Amino acid sequence: MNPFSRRTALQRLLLGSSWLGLRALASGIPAAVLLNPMTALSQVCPPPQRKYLLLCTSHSGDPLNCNVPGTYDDARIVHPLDPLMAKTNFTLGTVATAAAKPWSLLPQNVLDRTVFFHHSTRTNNHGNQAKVMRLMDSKEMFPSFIAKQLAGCLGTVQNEPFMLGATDPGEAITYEGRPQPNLSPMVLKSLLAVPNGALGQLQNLRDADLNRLNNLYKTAGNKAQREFLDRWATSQTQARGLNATLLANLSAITDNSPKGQAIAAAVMFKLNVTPVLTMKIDFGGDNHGDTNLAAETAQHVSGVASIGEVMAQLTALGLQDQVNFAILNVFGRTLAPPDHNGRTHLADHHCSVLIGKSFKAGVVGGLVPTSSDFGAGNINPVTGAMVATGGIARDATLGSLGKTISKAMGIDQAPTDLAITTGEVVQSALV
Amino acid sequence: MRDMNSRVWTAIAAGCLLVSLSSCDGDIAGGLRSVASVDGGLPQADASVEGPDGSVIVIGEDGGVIIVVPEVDAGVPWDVVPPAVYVPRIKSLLTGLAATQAEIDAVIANPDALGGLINTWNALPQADDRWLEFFVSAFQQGQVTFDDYMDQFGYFGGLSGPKDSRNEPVMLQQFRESFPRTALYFVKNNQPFTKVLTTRQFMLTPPMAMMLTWSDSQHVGDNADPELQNGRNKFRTRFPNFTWQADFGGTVPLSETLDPTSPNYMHWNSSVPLTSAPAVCQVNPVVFSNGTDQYSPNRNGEWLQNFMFGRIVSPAKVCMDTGRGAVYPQPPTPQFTATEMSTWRMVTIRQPAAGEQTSVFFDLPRMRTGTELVLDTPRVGFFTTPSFFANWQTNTSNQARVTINQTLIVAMGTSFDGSKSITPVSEAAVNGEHAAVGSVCYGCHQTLDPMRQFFRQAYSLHYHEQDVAAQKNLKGNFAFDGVSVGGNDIYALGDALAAHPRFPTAWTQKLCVYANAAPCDEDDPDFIAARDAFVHDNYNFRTLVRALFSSPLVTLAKPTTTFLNDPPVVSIVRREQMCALLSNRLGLNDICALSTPAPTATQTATGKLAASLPGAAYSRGAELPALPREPTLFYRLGVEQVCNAAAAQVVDITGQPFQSAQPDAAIDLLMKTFLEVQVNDPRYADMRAVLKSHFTAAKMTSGSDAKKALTSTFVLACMAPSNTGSGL
Repeated sequence: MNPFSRRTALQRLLLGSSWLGLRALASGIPAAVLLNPMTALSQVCPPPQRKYLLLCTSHSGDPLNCNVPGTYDDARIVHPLDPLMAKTNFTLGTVATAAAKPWSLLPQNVLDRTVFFHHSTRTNNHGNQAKVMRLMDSKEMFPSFIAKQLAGCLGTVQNEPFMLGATDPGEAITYEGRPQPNLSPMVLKSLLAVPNGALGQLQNLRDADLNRLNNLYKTAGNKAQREFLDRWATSQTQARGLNATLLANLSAITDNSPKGQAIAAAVMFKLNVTPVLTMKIDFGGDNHGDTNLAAETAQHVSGVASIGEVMAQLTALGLQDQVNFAILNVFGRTLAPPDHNGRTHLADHHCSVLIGKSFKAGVVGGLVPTSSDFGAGNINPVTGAMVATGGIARDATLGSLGKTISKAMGIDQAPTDLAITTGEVVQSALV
Repeated sequence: MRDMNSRVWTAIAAGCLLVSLSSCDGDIAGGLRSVASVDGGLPQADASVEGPDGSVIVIGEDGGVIIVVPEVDAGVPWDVVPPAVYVPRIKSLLTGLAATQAEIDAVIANPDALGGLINTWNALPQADDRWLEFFVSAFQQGQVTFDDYMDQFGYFGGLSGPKDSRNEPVMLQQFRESFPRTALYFVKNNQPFTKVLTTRQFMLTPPMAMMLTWSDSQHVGDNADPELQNGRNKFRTRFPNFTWQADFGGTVPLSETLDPTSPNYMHWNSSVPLTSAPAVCQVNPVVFSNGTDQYSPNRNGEWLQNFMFGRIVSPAKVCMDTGRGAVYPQPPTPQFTATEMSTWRMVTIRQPAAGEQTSVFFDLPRMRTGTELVLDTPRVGFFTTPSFFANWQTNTSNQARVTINQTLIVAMGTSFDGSKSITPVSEAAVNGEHAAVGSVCYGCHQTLDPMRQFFRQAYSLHYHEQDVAAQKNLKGNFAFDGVSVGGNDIYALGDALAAHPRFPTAWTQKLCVYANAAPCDEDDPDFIAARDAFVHDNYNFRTLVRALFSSPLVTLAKPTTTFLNDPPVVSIVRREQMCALLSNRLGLNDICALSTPAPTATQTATGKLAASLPGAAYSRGAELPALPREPTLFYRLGVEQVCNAAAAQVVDITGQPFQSAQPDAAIDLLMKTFLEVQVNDPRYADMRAVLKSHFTAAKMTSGSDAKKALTSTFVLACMAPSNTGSGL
């Protein structure tokens, strides 16, 4: 008999030879990098596929969907009356459109790679945020799927995505089902910032003395212990070897606001830490009782400005062509409430905002009246136009959104189709 | 009898004469040694039996059994791990505490003393916390948010709706801990660990009892939607036109509140008078009668359930503004005291006898102190808890297949892949839409579907009581790895799992993975011995821990077949271990707030930093938990920050021993607390000199002072490899 049958099977599954698989799994460092750390990155990931995803998500169910292009075509749709939210014409690439004024204030070069994707999330319940992250039908969360597909190509420090801006446990994301940390900008700043003055000197002193302790442990260590000590020392070298100039950018973080998240995201991507990050930008929140839609107004102004801040931070680090940005919240809100004093949950419509070099600017889908409010219309998968019948049905539009983003990230169709079982790619949204 | 060394295992049960050593094949040569020690005694040999491949089974005069395992080939290179390394490692694994010189010396003098020490450590309260954390992961009861319970507890009827930042974290923690506490109860009371599969008793708090009872009074069937609240509301059926009122400042005795014949029936007190409600809500008492609900009629039971937690919703006719703004009256006094909110007790959950009424959630005396709940929804073992269900939600397509697969993973360490399945007694539950006869999928579905029928028979897709006759009447069939059993109910699944031969193997393996961050060879004689000790001591979990943790599989003190091909690897001290270590060694309460629902600002801040350290986690379909082992740069940075946060809580803090005015005493303590190199170790003086010189140099650094110097010295010691690597 084979005395190692079951363990061997488990080990082989995880490890392959030289514990490579487990090392990759445990460290998050892709196996390709462990095998050949100097050449893996350039070999396996040609520039067109070097894409990171910054996913903006909230389980509040913001009225993000209520003032975007496509919501000004039906007079029954209610918008804030504040001039700050006045209907304003602008262009998305070559597409002329109109939306609330804040959207028009995004830089034209950003608008020229922005898609407004009308779809449904099929839920009107805050508690289903995790399901929406699984696109309602998939086994694993969308950020997990994207991260898993891209990590090997990008050679990121870790496979796992993490959160920068979650403010509620319901906004937690998982990687292969495992919860991932919420490393707020202030925590990241604390972790990575290089101390100055006496604290910096003490850190240097401590690093040196920790190496002395390592060496003392090594004197009596066995092979496994010596290997750990080497890895422990290497982690210190890696930590101190992080690009100091990049890390200095973190000093600009003063809080966990979207601006702080934008800075942190740009630095994390530049350091090639993870393929996917999530952040949070408010566009009015859970505004049931929003008198005069004041919160909706204020947070649209600040929220769209925050998107501009994200793009500015990415551009500052030369990442504007390598990072795709997408918004996917748990649901949208009613477009036709009886007055201007709040909106309730809406399962039938949400509008994702997609920004990046991979996207061809424009509007995908649209709105149709429903018995109680409005809902996302069917989508022609080639032109992206709303169609009365046929095409991508409302219930499949969430899957279509996922597949479209996945393709924008350079991920092959086959794994995408395995992971996302509904909908199809909307070709017109992609360059 | 051949070359036997001093470590001998005495089988406890008289009926354990035949211990399989069939795995000791010809690959293993060399001398003989015995495996696992309980009491260190060497019984008189009465008779011996030559086992297969050179192993020897010795029958003691007291009827006990000594299993003598062939030594692994002496030619295999092996780095012997001494007691000075494995004693601290095992104590830290079990308790988070540092080993003492006396404990190490005891094992050096007599390696068999380790078993006794493990018993002693396991009896410490710090061990309870470590096992609770292990059980949360092993039984897959964590990794959820409160929203994940919505299918079971409802949307408005639970603690959702307007976010309840006070109660949600508390209840989430309680549901997370409930079954781990149940398992720990069995462990501490030396009850068979198989009860984790068959128990109908669960550790509950009063509010948990109420939420389970409330959930049972609702019904969300296969085709209902918990969001839309379109299920069959059993409470409404039982209590039509249910009316109650909240009396702010009221003094009605509870006995009258619960007495249907009393004029004060369903008059609930809030001891706090109405003083701060918005003007539109200045009505007292607040009466919840039919039609006053802002969302839908007849939801008054749900609002009373909310009231129990000190929450009150907006009855539309009393307390709403123009019809859109949600106005909430002044919060009432919670019906559960702070003590009751966290008082655990074992509660039996059973289904009603014919004609018997189920428990009702507002029966506060029963919720507070009762030992039995009568519920339609069956509960048995780890696999029917709200947390397990919240982890593994199912739907019309999945049809509880995920539920049975994760059940197999927890109970038997095996994911369903068809390789261990056998033809079931009945294939009636095979889903023809999912897998046509003759298709490649059919082989798996042939056994998977009848097994998942145990869940479909008992539960709707939202894990409420199943009420579809076609599902209820279709029996489940358990057919796996040589065992095939039919069953009429979910309890039969627990019985089948408890009787399955893989159960003890699976839990021995879980402990191996827990200790080593890697699986053991299940054919390893040391593994088999530990497993069999577990079985023969009536599935006593502590016996398993003692047998396994004192074996070479964990001590690494001797070669063992597990590590012949894949040598052991030193793993990082993971998040939960590091947090326990710092909490317990420094005497700080849950420093990372891993199990504190209402943490202090300091705990919260430390917990956020600790979040950057990888921890143990489980995944859907994965037989092994994910146990990160590598010290990545984020781990390195995170440990430094967590150590910094710990230092801030003890250095120059009144009452703490780490005082910069007495640096030598502080450094001596750091040596004991973190470096774990004992005074008689030849490296002790050099290591202490490193800490001392660091303190001196740090103090002399421009801009520094004694406190900063000791803080830096503390962080240095806290980051020592002995503290960050498990097994150094």
